[in-house]
Parts: sequence; C-alpha cells; structure tokens
Amino acid sequence: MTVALTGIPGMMAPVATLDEGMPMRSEAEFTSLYHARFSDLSAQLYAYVGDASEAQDIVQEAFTRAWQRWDQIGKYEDPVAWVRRVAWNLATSRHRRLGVIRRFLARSTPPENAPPPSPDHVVLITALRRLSANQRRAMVLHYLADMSVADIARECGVAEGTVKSWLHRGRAELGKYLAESEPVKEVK
Amino acid sequence: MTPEEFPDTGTGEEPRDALNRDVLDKDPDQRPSDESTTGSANEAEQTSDTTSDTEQTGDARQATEAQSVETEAQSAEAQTTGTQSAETQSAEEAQQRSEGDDSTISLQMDEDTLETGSQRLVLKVIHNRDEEDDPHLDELIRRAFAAYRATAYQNFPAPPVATILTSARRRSQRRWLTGGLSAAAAIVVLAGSIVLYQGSRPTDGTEAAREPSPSFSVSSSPTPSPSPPQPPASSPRMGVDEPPVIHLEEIDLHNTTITLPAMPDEPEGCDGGTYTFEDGRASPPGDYEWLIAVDPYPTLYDPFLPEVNTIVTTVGCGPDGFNEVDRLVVLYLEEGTLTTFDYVPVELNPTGEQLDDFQIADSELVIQFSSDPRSESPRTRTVRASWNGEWSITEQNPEIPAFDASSPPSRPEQTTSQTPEAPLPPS
Repeated sequence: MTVALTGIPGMMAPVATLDEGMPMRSEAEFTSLYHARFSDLSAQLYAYVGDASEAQDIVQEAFTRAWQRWDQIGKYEDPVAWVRRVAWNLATSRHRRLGVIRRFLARSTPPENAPPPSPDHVVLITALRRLSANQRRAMVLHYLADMSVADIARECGVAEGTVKSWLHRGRAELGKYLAESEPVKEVK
Repeated sequence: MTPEEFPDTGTGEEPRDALNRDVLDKDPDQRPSDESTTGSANEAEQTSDTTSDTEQTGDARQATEAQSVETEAQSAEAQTTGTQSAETQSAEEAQQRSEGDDSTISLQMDEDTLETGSQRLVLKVIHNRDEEDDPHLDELIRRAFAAYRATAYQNFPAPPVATILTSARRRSQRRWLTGGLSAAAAIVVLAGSIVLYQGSRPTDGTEAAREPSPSFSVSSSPTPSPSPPQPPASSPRMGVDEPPVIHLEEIDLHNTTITLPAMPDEPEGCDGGTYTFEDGRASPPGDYEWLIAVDPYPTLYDPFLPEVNTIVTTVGCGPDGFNEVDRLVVLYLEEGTLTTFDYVPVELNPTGEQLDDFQIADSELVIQFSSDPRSESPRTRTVRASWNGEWSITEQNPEIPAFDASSPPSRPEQTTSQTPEAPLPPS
C-alpha cells in the first residue's frame, strides 16, 4: 500500500508502469487508496476547474473507473497515477467545453459537510481562474502536485520549453493578481 | 510546505528549485547566474572588440524584461548604445521569444547596425525566467500555494467508498444487461432503412468457419442514399470470391481501421478520416485523438435485425488523453467492410449531465442521462432516436424510474427531426 501513496511525480505514464510481478491490490487497498488520496486530488482539481463540486465529481469518476478496472489498475506500480491522469483528462475535457461551447454550469456550492473555503483559498482560486487553462494547469501540477517540468511536459504532450513558458507567464500573472488582492487583506 | 502539511504530494523537492535545476541542468549556457554573464561576455568578446560585462543599455533591458528574457550578450549590446536598429531587433527578438517555446534562440544582427561594424554580433537569448521573476510576487505565490496545500484538502472529504463501488458495479450490470438485450431487440425503423440502403446485397447463409476478425479496411462512409450501392462482383479486399461470414461480435472495434466523418460540434482537430484504432484509441497527427467503443458503455451488436449487421457504439474525440464519449455511431458491415452509417445526432456529454446508458427499446434507440446526483433535484433524461430517412429525436425530461429495459421509458414529449449531421459522400 505504501507504494500507492508515494512517487507522485513519476506518475505520468501509468499504463507503462504496469508491474507484472505485482499482485493485484485488494478492495481494502483500493478503499485505503481512495481515502488517502481523494481529498488532495480534489483540491488539485479544484484549483484547476475552480468549482468544488465539479472537482469532486471528476475525482469520484476517476476512482469509479479505476475500480471498474481494478483487476488491471491494481497491478500498476502506482495506481494513483492512473486515477490522477483520468481525472485530469476529464477536467481538461470539461474545460475544453467551457472554452469552446461556453455552456459550463457555474456552481459554487461547497461540498457537503465540508468547511467553507478560506478567504485565502478563494483569492488563490480566483486568481488562478484568470490564467489561461494551460498556465493554470502547469501551475497547479507544479505547485500542488509537485511535478517537474519534464513530467508536466509529458502529461500535456508538449515540449519542456512550453511548460517553462507556461510556468513563467503563469507566475507573472498570478503574482500580479495576488498582489492586487493583498491590500484588501491588509484592510481586513 | 512539508509533506506533513500536504501528504503524498512529492519528493520533498521544492518545485521552484526543481525548475531552476531543470533549467540549469539542461544547458550550462542557460544558467542565469554569473556564469552565464561570463559566458556571454566571452561570446561577445569574439564578436565585439570592446565589451563590458556589466553595462546594459536601458532600452535593451526594458525590452528583455518586458518579455521576460535576458540576453547573454547584454553587455556586448551595450557597446551598440544608440543603435536604434539593435534595440528594435532586440525587442522583436524578445517578442518572438514570447511566442515561441524554444529554450534558446539566436539572433544575428546586421553588421551595419554595429558601431564596431567589423563583425556580426550574435545575440543569444536565453530563458532566465526565474531570475526575472519579481521576488515579492514569487514569494506571494509560494505562500499562497503553501497555504492552500496545507488546508485545502480539508474542504474535500471523501464520500463513502461504497458510492464508488456501487456506481462501478451498477455500470457493469447495465453493460451486461444491455448487451444481453441487444440480441433480442425488436425490429426498428432504423433497421428498415439500413436494409433498404444495403439493397441487393447478397446475403447467403453460408456458415463459414469462424475466422478471426479481419482487418477492416473501411471504405469512405457513404451518405444514406435512396439508391443503394451495387455490390461488387467479388470481394477483392478479402481475396476470395465470396466474402466470409463475419460475425459482428468477432470484430475487435478497439483494433481496427474505420473511416469516420468529422465529429459534430467539435473543434478543429476532430476531422473526418480513416483512423486505425489501437486499444480503442486512434492518434492521428495533431493534438486530438479518437476513441471508439469507450468503456464502460456497451456496444450493441446487431441490435436491429440479424441480417442488417449493424453495430451501435460510442465514439469520442478530444485532446490527447481524452476519455469521454461524444456520440453514438451506427456502423454496418457490408462485404466484410465495416462502414459508418451516421452519427446519432445526440450529444452524449451534455453540460451538467452524464451518459448513463443506451439500448434498443420500444423499437427505438433509447439514450439515458442523469444529472448530478448531489443536486437538489437529481433527475434523468431520456432521448430517443430513430431513423426513417432522417433522424427523429425525441426527448423526455421528467424524472423517470431507473433505467430498466424490461419497462422501457414512456413515450416522448418533444420531437425533432434531423437529417444526418455529417453528410457523407456517396461511395
């Protein structure tokens, strides 16, 4: 089980990490994995999609798909890699629809039984939403998922230089937006 | 930002440090430290007879800072002070950099623009983004993400795992149920149309040996036409006089070649074409890929009439790694060739809903969606599709019982008709 909880940065090619010698993990291990990773994966996706319910939906869907294929996914060296990849695929797809079709339903309801997001979180999420999708994705994967430039490039299917560009511009934009929000905090 | 604050998130490596190291390791020439300055000076010395390692022209610096790049040859450029063309080119170069992805680019300046006028000055523009980041803003970002990582996960308590397990099990059951029902599906209008379309296609009842699924080199997808295509005298693709009987269930849709029309309502990149699928995915050049027979949804084999040889399955197209379905596609087998009949003009991934299942029921293709179960009024929506020369789409929005093939949803409330969305050239 410890394998599933570590090694996050190297999770970008889950299919290739199939360990033939690794026995399939049990349902109990899936459950443990789910409880261990659901929250932080959701937090990462929330930072990207900007909608708490949507983020939870996405992660839940990814875990559902993982369980459907657990006889295979459970053999992976890092099953969470597969889950996160699917979750990000779903998030990217939904975001594509947001950009192209402009029909995404804006929902701001926080998850049930969850504390409301802190003002600082709201500021960060709001600022992130002002970035382009690519910049936001790179920033979230880098700062929240601890992924290297190379891993992000592999995940996004782009050159490393592109990721560096996204990160650089994302930092510049995000810093600007966060700085704008600072005086408000000081007033409080 | 420690692992304790946000578990399972990494190696303990500071992301920014990782980025810096990545940049540094990639090319020593790109190092944003004093080394690069020295290197640039050396390079400049080769091209300019008077070089300062420290001086920079204000304009050039403005240009590079504005575009977040730094030139190794800033010091050399200082020797070109007052050379407007050099400054302009520097700005253009910086702009070019801002639109590109390469780590390094070179700029050759016309020798006429140099005061020295003796040699070409090569400016090597590097990415030195970190050095140019405002430390204050950078610290802001670090703090913001660190605070988020430390506590944000508390806002996302995991729903009971039973929700996941039950949902997955229900999907599997639906898939099995739908697959079983397809064998006993009733005659539908679509079947009649396809029979007409297939016209005089010979249908011998020869029981050929069950060969493995052939490689379906599919012809271009024809538009359903009132004048049915004439069958060839033989089947050259198969290399035999009589095409073998192909059992639909033996067709491995995940590993075949199919010509598909452009995906309706999708951006550029999901163009029509002949795609070879491997493991259910086809990745043509570009940023988009196609999916077919997407899990966990069923593929309906011959859901209309056994003689018609139709397949109804899911397809999707989106960015690499895409994992959703966009449409149902109706394929039919003719002369050993799997051909696209048409997309069913129903979007399968509508906003705020998810595709639950689809099946043949009450002589129609019935597609069912559900809304977010956590919403205040979760509901299902049923769309019926039938073909009679054109698509007829009917929609029913009220809540209905859970999808149960034994008691098909009631009749529709709204009806629309559509011609095929992707008119296809005749074969």
